[in-house]
Amino acid sequence: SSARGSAASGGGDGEVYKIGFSHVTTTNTPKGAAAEKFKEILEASSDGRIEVEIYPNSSLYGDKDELQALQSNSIQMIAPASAKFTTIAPQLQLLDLPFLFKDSEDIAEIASRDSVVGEAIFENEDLRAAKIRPLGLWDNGFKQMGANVPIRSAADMAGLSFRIQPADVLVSQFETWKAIPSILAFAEVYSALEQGVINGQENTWSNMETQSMHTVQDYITESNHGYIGYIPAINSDFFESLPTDLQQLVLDAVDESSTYNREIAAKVNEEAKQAIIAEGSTEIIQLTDDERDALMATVIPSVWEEYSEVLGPDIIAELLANRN
Amino acid sequence: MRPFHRKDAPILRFSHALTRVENFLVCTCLAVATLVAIAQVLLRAILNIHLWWGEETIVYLIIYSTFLGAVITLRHNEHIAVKVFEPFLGRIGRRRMDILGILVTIAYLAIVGFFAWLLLFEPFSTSTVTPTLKLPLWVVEVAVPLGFTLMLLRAIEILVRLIRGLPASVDGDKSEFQREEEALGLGEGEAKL
Amino acid sequence: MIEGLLALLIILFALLLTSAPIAVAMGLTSFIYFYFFTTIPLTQVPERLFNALNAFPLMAIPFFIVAANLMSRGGISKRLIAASNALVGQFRGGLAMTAVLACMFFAAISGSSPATVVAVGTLIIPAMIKSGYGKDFSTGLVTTSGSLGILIPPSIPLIVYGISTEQSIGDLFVAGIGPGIMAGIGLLILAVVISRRRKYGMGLNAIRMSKYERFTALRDASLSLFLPLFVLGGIYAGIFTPTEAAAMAVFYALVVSIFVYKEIKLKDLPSILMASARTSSMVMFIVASGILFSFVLTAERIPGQVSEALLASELTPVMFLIMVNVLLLVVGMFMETSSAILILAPVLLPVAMELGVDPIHFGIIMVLNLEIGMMTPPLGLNLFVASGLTGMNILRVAKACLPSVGVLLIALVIVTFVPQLSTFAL
Ligand code: NA
Ligand code: NA
Repeated sequence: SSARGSAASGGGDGEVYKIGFSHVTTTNTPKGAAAEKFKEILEASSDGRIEVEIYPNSSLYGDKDELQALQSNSIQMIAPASAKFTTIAPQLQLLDLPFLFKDSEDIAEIASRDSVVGEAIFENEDLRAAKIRPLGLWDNGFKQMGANVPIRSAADMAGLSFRIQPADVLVSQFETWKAIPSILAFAEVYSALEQGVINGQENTWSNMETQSMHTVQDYITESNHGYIGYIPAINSDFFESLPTDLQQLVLDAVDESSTYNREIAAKVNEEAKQAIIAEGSTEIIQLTDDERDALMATVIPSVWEEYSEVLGPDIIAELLANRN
Repeated sequence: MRPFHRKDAPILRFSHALTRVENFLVCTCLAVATLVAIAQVLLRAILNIHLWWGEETIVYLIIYSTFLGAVITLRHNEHIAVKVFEPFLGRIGRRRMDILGILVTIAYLAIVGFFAWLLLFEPFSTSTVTPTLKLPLWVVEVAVPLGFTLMLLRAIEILVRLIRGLPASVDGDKSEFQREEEALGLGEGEAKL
Repeated sequence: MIEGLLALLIILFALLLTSAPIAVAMGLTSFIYFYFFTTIPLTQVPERLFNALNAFPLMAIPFFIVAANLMSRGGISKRLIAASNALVGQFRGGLAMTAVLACMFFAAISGSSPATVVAVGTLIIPAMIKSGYGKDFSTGLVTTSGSLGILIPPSIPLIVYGISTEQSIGDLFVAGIGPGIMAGIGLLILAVVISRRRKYGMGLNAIRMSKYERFTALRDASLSLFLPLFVLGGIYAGIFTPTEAAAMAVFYALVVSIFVYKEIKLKDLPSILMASARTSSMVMFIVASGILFSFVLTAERIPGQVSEALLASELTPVMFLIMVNVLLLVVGMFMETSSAILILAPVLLPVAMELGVDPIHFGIIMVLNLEIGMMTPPLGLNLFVASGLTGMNILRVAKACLPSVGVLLIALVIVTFVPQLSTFAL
């Protein structure tokens, strides 16, 4: 029998710590692969003092209950989409801000542990109070805009309904574009598009491809206008119960797996994009620099400033200052 | 008709009042959930309106109707059990088996019911809100401790009845079929072609 | 690991033997596991029960139950019997054939087997006995035909299988049609053969029924017969999800029984809801407890380990399928359908898929096996229902079911080894 996560009493050198790591995707996704990498690195670096048991594909906890499971230390690690944490820590909506990152090189810098954004995530008081310690940032990728009409500007989206993830920032983003945001579960997007319940959606290439969303929408604009990331997180009580040297090994293993994840995510998204192009059912629209700047200008600074209070006035000010 | 004990009167009144409350809550939850589900499909199909709150409302109402409905099911002694020994036992042996079964049930309902109340005080139950309705999690979780506690009361009632030599269910010695027939709403009038 | 599985199963069976409800036995076993073998907080036991039901696809179960109750009370089952009688009543053994056919029709609008036995059996078993059909024969035939309720879609166990293994419920429903019709035809043949040998008569008023009367019966039932096309067609065409289809079935049954057949008045609705709530809570409480129990198995990594062990033993697909059928027939004697699926599907399906068995086909195999379990003592829901209906004791009903269960066993062999029967329309 496995006493998962039990730092069984006693202490001492021979002790083996078990980390139960539950997530909701299959092992061949950027997140699943990063989790496997994390296990591999940590079990090797700790010389067997830490065992990582991965429960992929919602086999133990699903989208709806993994956060509770983490908080009660029923499971020690999870890696949900950053948006999942925003009910506990609204500040994490920072990552949902439109055009926060210009490209993937930006991610490591803007969200590094000592940046303002990084501090808001990794030193977050709300998460700490909930016994959640965020460890890193794993990519799903950049969001593109899919719809049944070609989109090159905000005006093209006016009056259309778009499926979004439940986040206030995203509501504002689409309302600024005079579009109708509609909250739907990921799994329902395909049929909603097919039936015309919604006119479009924003997602990463790989999410669109795995759900066959491109087959039910005629155009995808390569807008890279937003970011979807996962935050691998550990129960803080459990983390602190680890000897200091093992704590460091956990952090190192997350960092290394993050690098690995970023490569995989870029590769997976590129492959998905090529597959969608190859299928030929969808027209891919490239924005010119001017078009992208114009789209950006509709939401920056307005949407950023709208959430200044929630996200932290200093942070928004510094982010805006850094852009110029 | 089972013997009526005078000293039972207040407790019987309480039991009957409770029955009415349970029935009302369960029927309402199921009815509203069904109506929302129908409205959701029709509105979407005809008017292209998406009830964003529909799905979560349905799920939570059905969770309520399940845990509270399980109380009614228990009252009618309809939770399915494997009675391996029943064919080999006499009347007294069967009653002893039934008492053993209800004792196990009482133990389960008491222990898990206790932890179900504690669940409401877990930090995540008070701090998490549901994704679309934004209700505190404990508001929907409370269906579990409520259902378990009410079931515990009913299970104790059954134990008392069994010890007194009465049939387990409030339906008395009605056959499985009569109960199923009732459960399906087939009155006697329809039992002929 | 095998020790872990054995320990859990021994505790579960010991608790089942106390005659505690199945849901209680599974829940208490899980609690014992949490308490003794993990450091997981014990509040997670009720939390798992809550979250088990926090899934929209499961909501199809209560709605299909409400729909079935409306149809029984709203005169739909009566009209289905009349239509069946008009179709096959004029042949020798006509009433027996009517019984089987009516069960098939009702199965196509109800997701549960006991409900099918009651809806059809209440009306037709007394009529069969009155017309000179043997009591044991009549009861056995209807009890088994009613079990088609879970093979012919919609089907509560197929919903549970779909959710527990992440397979498309719509595909499972479609896959159940072929095997369901084949098993039904087998039962029709049995009905004719035995009726001829025993010189049983024809259907209700079959001799006197004119063409016009037959036509009227069919026309009256046409709205009821259209329901499965509407519900299953809607799922198949991707217009609704199974949960939405269940809600539409309720809507359809409400409209037909209130406004067309006029057999239900608004004041009847509370008692129909009450009856539905009792059945649906019973099923959903078992489902929640089964999901809790399967959480324990997953946490112990038992499904993966059993799969590895089975694969390491180098079973051929045929040997594996035979083993699965034997195992499920035995399990079906003691376990209720949904809980057996929740516990066993995650353990067996990975092996089946590794051996090249289609997951949808495997679901149909599981459901047909467990359907047979509904007619085997000690735990057989159809036996309980039929025993109450006829006053025969459970063992006598079980014996009366033997010939028709034999037909289902033949059907099981065909379904198992002819996957195309299940998957041709996918
Ligand atoms: Na059915
Ligand atoms: Na059985």
